[in-house]
Parts: sequence; C-alpha cells; structure tokens
Amino acid sequence: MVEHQPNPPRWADRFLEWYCNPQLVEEIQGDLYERFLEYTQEKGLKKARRWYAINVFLFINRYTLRRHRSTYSRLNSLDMFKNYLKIGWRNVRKHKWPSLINVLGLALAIGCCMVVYTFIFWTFNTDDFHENRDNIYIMEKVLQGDNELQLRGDSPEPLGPAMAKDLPQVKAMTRFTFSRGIFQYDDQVFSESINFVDPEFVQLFSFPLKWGKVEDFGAMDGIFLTERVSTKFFGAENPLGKQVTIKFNNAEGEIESSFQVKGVFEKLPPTRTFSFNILVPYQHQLTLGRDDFLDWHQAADATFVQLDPTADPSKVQQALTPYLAQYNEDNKGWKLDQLNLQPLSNISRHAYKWGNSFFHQSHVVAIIMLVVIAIALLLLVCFNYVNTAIATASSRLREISVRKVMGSQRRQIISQFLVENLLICLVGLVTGILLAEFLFLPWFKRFAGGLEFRLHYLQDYRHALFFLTLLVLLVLGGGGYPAYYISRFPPVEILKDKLRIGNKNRFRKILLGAQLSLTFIAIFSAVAFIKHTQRLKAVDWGYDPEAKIVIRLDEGISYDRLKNELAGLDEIQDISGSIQQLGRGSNGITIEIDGEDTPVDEMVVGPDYLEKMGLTVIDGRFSSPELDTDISQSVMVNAAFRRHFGWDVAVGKVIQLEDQSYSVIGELEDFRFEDFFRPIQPMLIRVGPKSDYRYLTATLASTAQTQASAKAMEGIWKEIYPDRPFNFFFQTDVMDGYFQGFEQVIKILSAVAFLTIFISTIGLFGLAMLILARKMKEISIRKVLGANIWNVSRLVNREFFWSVVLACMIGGPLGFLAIKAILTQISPEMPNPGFLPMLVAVVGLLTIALVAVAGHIYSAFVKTRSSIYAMSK
Amino acid sequence: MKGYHLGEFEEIVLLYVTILHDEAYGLAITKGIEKDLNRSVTLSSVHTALYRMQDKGLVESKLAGSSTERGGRRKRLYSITNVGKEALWNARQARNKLWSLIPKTTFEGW
Repeated sequence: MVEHQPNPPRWADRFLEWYCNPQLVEEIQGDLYERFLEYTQEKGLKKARRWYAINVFLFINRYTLRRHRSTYSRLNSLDMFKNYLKIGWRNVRKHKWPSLINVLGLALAIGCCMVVYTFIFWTFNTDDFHENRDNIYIMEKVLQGDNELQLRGDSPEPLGPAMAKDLPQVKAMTRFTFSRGIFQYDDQVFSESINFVDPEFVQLFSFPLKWGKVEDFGAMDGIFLTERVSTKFFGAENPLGKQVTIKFNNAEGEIESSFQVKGVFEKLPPTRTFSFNILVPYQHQLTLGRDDFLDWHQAADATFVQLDPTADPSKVQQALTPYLAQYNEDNKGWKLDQLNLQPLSNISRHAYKWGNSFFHQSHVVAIIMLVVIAIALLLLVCFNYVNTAIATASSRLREISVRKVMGSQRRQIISQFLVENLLICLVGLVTGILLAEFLFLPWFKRFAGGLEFRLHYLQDYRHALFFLTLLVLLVLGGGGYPAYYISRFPPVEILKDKLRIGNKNRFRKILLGAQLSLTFIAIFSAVAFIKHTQRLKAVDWGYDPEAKIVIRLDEGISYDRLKNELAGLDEIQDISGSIQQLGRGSNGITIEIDGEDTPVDEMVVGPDYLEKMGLTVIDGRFSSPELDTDISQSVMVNAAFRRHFGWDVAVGKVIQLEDQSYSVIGELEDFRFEDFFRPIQPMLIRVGPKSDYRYLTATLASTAQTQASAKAMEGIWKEIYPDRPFNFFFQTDVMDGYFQGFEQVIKILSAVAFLTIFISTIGLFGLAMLILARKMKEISIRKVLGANIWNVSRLVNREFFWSVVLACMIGGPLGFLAIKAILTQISPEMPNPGFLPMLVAVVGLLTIALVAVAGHIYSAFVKTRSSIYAMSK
Repeated sequence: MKGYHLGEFEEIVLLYVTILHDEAYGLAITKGIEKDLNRSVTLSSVHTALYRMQDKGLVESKLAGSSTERGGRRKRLYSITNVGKEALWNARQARNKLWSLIPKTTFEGW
C-alpha cells in the first residue's frame, strides 16, 4: 500500500521555483518539505500548509533571488528581438491594407483619447498656479429645505471677516462679489463686469501682475484691471495712474466714482477656475450707500479663506457652529445647516452642485461621458486588431510551427506577436498625437467655452506615464488574445496540414458584434439628438416671438421717456413693458389657497404686455390698462395652474399672496416662459408698476427689417442716454442659450458617430478582404459548378449576418434606454427618442456591412474568372 | 588579516556546523537551535546566515547524494573552513578575555 503523501500548497512551490535562484531551489525546497512533513504529523495538514506558504515568502532575500544567467543568453535574445522586428515589418508590408487600417483606426482613437485626457488633466489640475492652492478653501452653505438639502457657493457677507477675526488658523480671507458698472475712460463707455474683493485677494491668490505692485491694492480709489480690460481701454500702453470713472447702480439710483488704475494683471492663466475683469476694494461699497457689512442676510458671491498649512480643515469647520445660529437669526427662509470648507483644488469638479456658479466647472456626467467615449473607441480599434490578427493567423501558422520545432517556447512566440503589435501601436500613437494636436484639440477647445488647455509633454512625468499605460493597454488589449490564440496550436498537426483554424471562431464573431453594437449606439444617439432638437425647435411657444425687439432697462432709464421717443419710429407698431420677460425665467413664490401653501412661478408684467405678446386667453380676459383694480387685485393664471389645483374653472378663484387677496380674472393657454428643462409650471401673472419695468418690448410692423430697426432704435437711445450702453435682443433668440448646449452635444456625438462608423467600416473592410482571400478556392469551385454572384455574396455575408443581428439586439435597447434617460433630464415633457433614430441606426449598420463587403465580393468574383488558376494554387 | 567578526547568530550557526560535522544542513541546524537553545528561529534566517558565511569563506558546502525521504531532493551539507575555524576561535578568545576581566565579586552568590 502506498500511503498518500500530504502535499504543500502547489502555488507556493511554483512561486518559489519562479523567484528562486535555480542553484538553491532544490535544497530549500527539500528543507521546507522535510519540516512540512513533520509539522503535518504534529499540527495537522492545514497548519503545515500555511506554515509552508509563509516560509516560502520569508525566503525571499538577496541570496535567493534569481539572477541573469549569462551574457550569452542576453545577446541571443537581442538577436531574436531584432528578428521579431524584421518579421513583423515584413508582415506589415505583406498585409498592407489591414495594417494601414489598424494604424489609422488606432490613430483616430488615440487622438480622441488625448483630447479626453487633456480635458480631464485640466479638470484635476485647475488653479495650479496659485502658490497657496492647497491651503485655499471656498466657503459652502448647506441649506436645509423642507425635504432636501441644497448646496450653495455664496456665503453670508460677515462670515469671512468674522472667521479671520475669531479663528487663528485662518491666515487670510477675501470675499468675491460680482457687480456691473459702466466703465468710462475719455470717450469710451462700456458696461463691464466688476468684482468687489478684499485687499488680501491679490496676495492670497497668485495671479501674476504685469504692471503695478501687489501692495498697492486696497486703497479706496485704487483698482486693478486684467490685461484684457487694459488693452480694451488703453491699448498697449501702461495705464498705471490713469483716472477712470465707474458708474454703479444702487437702490437710490446711480453713483459715479472715480478711480486710479493701480495695477494690471497678466493674461489670466489658462488653468484658472474663475475669471474677473476689474477688481475694486470691497470697502468701496460703503461709498455706494452701504452702511456696514454686518447683515447676515447679505451674501457675497464667494468667500475664500487661506488656512495655515498646519491647520486641520475639519477642526476649522467645527469652529464655525456659532455662525450658523447668527445666520439663522437673520434669515427666515431655508435654515443654514452647515458651513463647509471646499478645497480650491477640487472646485472644478464640485461647483456644478451649486447650480449656476461662476466657477469654470465640468459636470461629472460630462467627464464620465467623455471617458466612456474614449474607452469605447479604444475598444473598437482593439477589436479591429484582434479580428484582423486572427483572420491572418492561418497564413502565419507555418512560420510559428517552424519556430516551435526549432525550439521556440510558447512564451517567445507570444512576445513575438506582442512586439509586432507594439510596432503598429507606436506608429498609431505618434500619428494619434499629431492628429490630436493639430486637429482634435483646436476643435474641442472652441466649444469648451474657450478654455485653453494644452499638454506640455516633456514637462510632466505624468504625461509620459499616461502614454506608456495607454501603449501597454493597447498592446495587451489588441495583441494579447491573438498572441495567445496563435501560439496555441501544436506544430505537428499544422505541418501535416491537419489543422484548419480561423473558420469558426466564435470569439471573433462576438467581438465583431460588440464592435457593431457600439457603432449602433453611436449612430443612434447622434440621430436621436439631432431629431430631438428639431422637434423641440418646432414646439409652439404659445405666443408670437416674431418681429419683437426687447431692450433691457437698467436703473435710471425711464420707460415712459424711451417709449415716447421710440413711438416716433414708423416701423414700430406697439410698445409694452414688463418686469419679467417671456423666455427669460420667472420668480419662485409661495401662494396660499384655502389656507394651504403652494410654491408656484410668477411673472410680473405691464397691463397690456400679454396681449401684445400674442398669448391666448382660454377663459376670462386679459387685464385691462384702464382698470385700477386689475393692477392691485387681479391675477391671471396659465392652464397648468388650473390643472395643478384640480379646478374645472380658474376664473373667479381667490388667491392669497403675501397677505393680500387676488382674484383670478383670466386663464391663459400654456406658454413657454423658460426653456424645456422643466415641464411648464403652474404660473401666476400679475400686473406690476411702471417704475419696476426691466424690459421694453417693441413690436415691429414686419419681420423684414429687424436689424435695421434695431439700429434705428439704438440711434434714438444714444440721443437720450449717450453714456449708457444699449442692450437689446430679439424675442426669437431667447431660447438660443438652451439650444446652444444641444448643438455642442450634437457636434460631439456626430463626431463620435462618424469616428465609430469609420473605424468599424475599415475594420469590416479589412476583415472581409482576409476572409475572401481565404475562401478563394471555395468560391472558384462554386463558380465552376454554376454559382452566380448572389450565391457567393450570401456565402460571405453569412459570416457577418449574425454579428449585425447581435449588434442591433444589444445596441438597440441599450442606446434607447441611455438616450431616454438623457432626454428626460433635458426636456421632461418629451423623453422619447422616437422611431427614426432606431431605423437610421439599423439601416446604417446594414449599409456599413454592405459597403465594406460588397466591393470585395465583386472583385473576388471577377478575379475568379480564372477559377482554375485559383484552384490550382 | 584582522579576521572576520562573527555576529551572535552567525556564531551559533557556525558552531552548529561544527557540532553536526557531516550532517550539517539548514534544517538540522534549525532544529538544533530550537532544541538545545530553546529559541525559535525561521528556516530562512538560518539559510541566509549560511549563504552569507559561505560568501565570506567561513564555510563551504556540497550537495549530498539524493535520498527518498524528502521527495528525492538533495541536501546541501556545510563544513567549516580554516578561516571559519579562526573566526570561531577568535570569538571565543575575545569572550574569554572579557569574562576574565569581570570583577570576581559580581557573580558571587548570584
């Protein structure tokens, strides 16, 4: 009887054999094994095995580790490597088309990857020019609503100074508040964006100065400009010491201040996350009618604090609790739940949570989408490579068998194929980088809001690391499976011609299916977006936006005076005023009906505004300019309002708004008072006083000469208000901002769809060529026996048919769900992509397959005229 | 030559190489230390000490004939060289000298 011997863990033994110097393996293994047997007796097999494994690791040291054996073998492997390159190059030349296709596909995909990488690198390295970047934080408010938390990037005005005073960890702080003013130098007058900041701003941040000194900022009448503003008003000359005036608006009217230019910044660095034009000391607001900055109800658009490098932000955050109570005492709305310190280094990826924020930001969804696109493209090209490599495998079998017979190990054959792939990938990488630099990046920059990102390839080791990783991934992803597959076959069978490979490779069909699915989704999304935009643009806005010019009325502009002057223009038919403009949003208010509070939207307009804008009354009437009660006690509602409250008739109902009762005098057909992000909300329309008007809408007699009319109106404006800028827009353009976002997405998606179509078409093209080349003999026989071109195409198309079907079945539902999810976000009223995109994608896919294959079939069929010749080969 | 200064552990291992004479291999030495000195020691540390001392020329080694008891794997048997003997001797001399310098009263009645 042979007693069954207990065994140590096999993997541990293998590991030992792998790392250990071969001269020492035997004795070490022997000693370990001997003791292992003893331990098995004493402590049981499980413990002994564990002991064995642990000790295998303990043996790793400088005496046991494997060394290079000799210089001789190293020389030899270098020679082999040269041989791989030579054979690889010969192969590339032999299969010119497939190689070219692979390189081209790779270059395109790598080019896109580069764009995505550049963008993401920018996102993660924003504001890197600030010396104190890692110690700067932005105060964030967490507000507690009824059932939700809201994050806000603005902060109470007194918070910053209070922190600087109370907390020793706070080294410096600055508030940052946007304002507008009319900037005047000599005869140049422009409305400019202005920022009030605390004196420490200039030192806390490291925006480089072109002229002036950091210390000069802080005097009440000293301002700093950016290079852009400086060039606009002063040209190339140094404006230090120049006197300028800025007109500010406040509650009482207009206040003019004069300033001295004390400093000019260099062009703001491209990695900045926020921009400014003109810096004015925060204290200057005291001369503009503000008494103090102690009201917790007032907000600064942002408060930046710089902590001591040794300070712990979480400790600082805990110390902020007293301020919460102070804030909540002054503010009766949403309760302030928490104050957070958001690191500046993270802000470009965080700011989107604050809704509309002035920080340059990238939405997480956008980042994910770009990464997904990049990965999908890389997968596509890898699939291409795998497919063509497997299809060419049969022509390499003899070579591999001979290598194996001559003593080549499988490992060496695998590395040979990887080296060949490396060759192609390297060429692809270089071409891709060139493509990205000269084509893709400039294109992408244009609609990334003019952000200037670029990679300095040699300055940062991380770029090199990225390219290296990309290369390794591509080589392994594209070459790994073919190398494994091709090196698998036993040489004897190949040399005896007993083996047929590559005909029935299921893996290849799945890859092809996956590739076509991606293409399907790309086509589907692009078409869905284009179609969706068309549908949205065709939606009736519920009023007539044609031939209407809207002028924005700033503080101090008299509506009546302007109206009277404009009425002199012949082409103007009607003039009306409003506080909110259709298409430009609304107020959120809370009304009370039968003792219950409900949030609704509100528009405040002039009495004849609605009628002149062409809205439709369903029930009741418009408010009348003649009736005083219409102004003080009546409101109109839209149909959504009536539906929201479940009423049959809205007219005659009574609504409480801020302790005053209003009765509903009219119900209006639903109309678009904002873009499509929300469905039409319940809305209440009230008539407001003339003095509050913010917009003047002039209706023209015809649509023929809108531009000329606008010019004429500007002329009249300049006569009345020579030093005020003329701001106007056409009512037809109010949705442009919304659709602009769509156009960006459509551009990206179309580009991606085009790329995927291109890559998979050339992939299929190469594949069809290789398959046909192999099937020449079969086709010849069939032809001799009387087959026509259709029979032959069916034969070849069978190879692709199932992949196309698979692609439609996977890509269809996936694409549909993804697009529906996105459309629900951007226009909840119309979430369905519809039937057309599906149809286009299916037809498109079939066309791709057909185009890629048909030409080959035809030429193959013609070539086999000399069928006998093909058979004799 | 000033001679190589043995570490404490090396000294013990080298002593066992001498003690076990023809049967000195890694595991035997480990077992000896565990049994005689009641001290736990890993196999790899003994091996490492042996490799190091071989590099220094204190011991030499040869592979023994194969046997069936350890899966047919051969042992590496170590023996002490003259250099090793000298190092061991020096270590002992040094110790003796130090012991002789200890005042007599220290260990009285201890």
